[in-house]
Amino acid sequence: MSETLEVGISAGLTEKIRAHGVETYPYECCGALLGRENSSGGAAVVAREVLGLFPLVNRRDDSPRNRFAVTADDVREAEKAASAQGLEVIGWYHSHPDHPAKPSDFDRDHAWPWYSYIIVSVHTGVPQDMTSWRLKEDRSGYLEEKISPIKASAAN
Amino acid sequence: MSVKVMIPTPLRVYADKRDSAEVSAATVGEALSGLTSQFAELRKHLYTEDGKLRAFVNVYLNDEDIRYLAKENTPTKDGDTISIVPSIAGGCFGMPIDFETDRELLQWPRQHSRKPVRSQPPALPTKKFFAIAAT
Repeated sequence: MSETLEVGISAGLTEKIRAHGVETYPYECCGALLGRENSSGGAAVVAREVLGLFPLVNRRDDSPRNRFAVTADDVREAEKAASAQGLEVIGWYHSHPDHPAKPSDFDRDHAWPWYSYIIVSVHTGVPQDMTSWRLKEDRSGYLEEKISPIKASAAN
Repeated sequence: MSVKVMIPTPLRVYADKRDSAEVSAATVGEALSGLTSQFAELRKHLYTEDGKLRAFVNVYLNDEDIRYLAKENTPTKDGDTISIVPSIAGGCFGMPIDFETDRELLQWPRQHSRKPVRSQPPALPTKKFFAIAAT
């Protein structure tokens, strides 16, 4: 039985990811997605919800136009922030300046399973498509994840 | 020696959803081997095809990065905790400006041998985008 992969995110948080990509353009932005798995979708839907963002500094200041990196220390900071809110780090977002919002071979070589990877394309400083991906189990590529709008809370 | 190996979130799906496992090992390398013997699906995400730890897999013995100890030959003792902590990396198409440092920079800033563009590591951004839904 095939599963549907789905990630829910509010319009407010979507705009914040896009704004981060614009802020750092022409360099790649990056950050953590904080949230939780959502079991209400049924067995055929593997859904999760992004309930917060933890923007990070792109540690690849040698090639920030087409590379990003988050160090282990930054990962730990994001995990602490998530845990403090009763959430977990469910994935990461980054931008592709002047490139499509599709994962590259470099993305795939460095990806972890299970995480949602949101990519926003920022073309000449204007945010374009935003997509989400999960690494295939055999690491041969990605499965695209449906991005679904969810209601914003008072916080976001 | 009985040591605890902490399993990061993205790998728990391959370890019966456990966040840790106890293994008997004399070194860090033996502990990781013991972990992948218990949960074979972990191996391809921790190691390359030629058996090396992937560059974005960081391993700590208690709170010390094994890169600064004896790497996988670091000896362990009863009660030690080994933590596997991800680095995250990616990027859009094309070659980086400095291709040779792609692998090295996942360990930046401590092991970076070249002077970075910024002389100090940049601080984390303010949490202006940090918004959590009320529960």
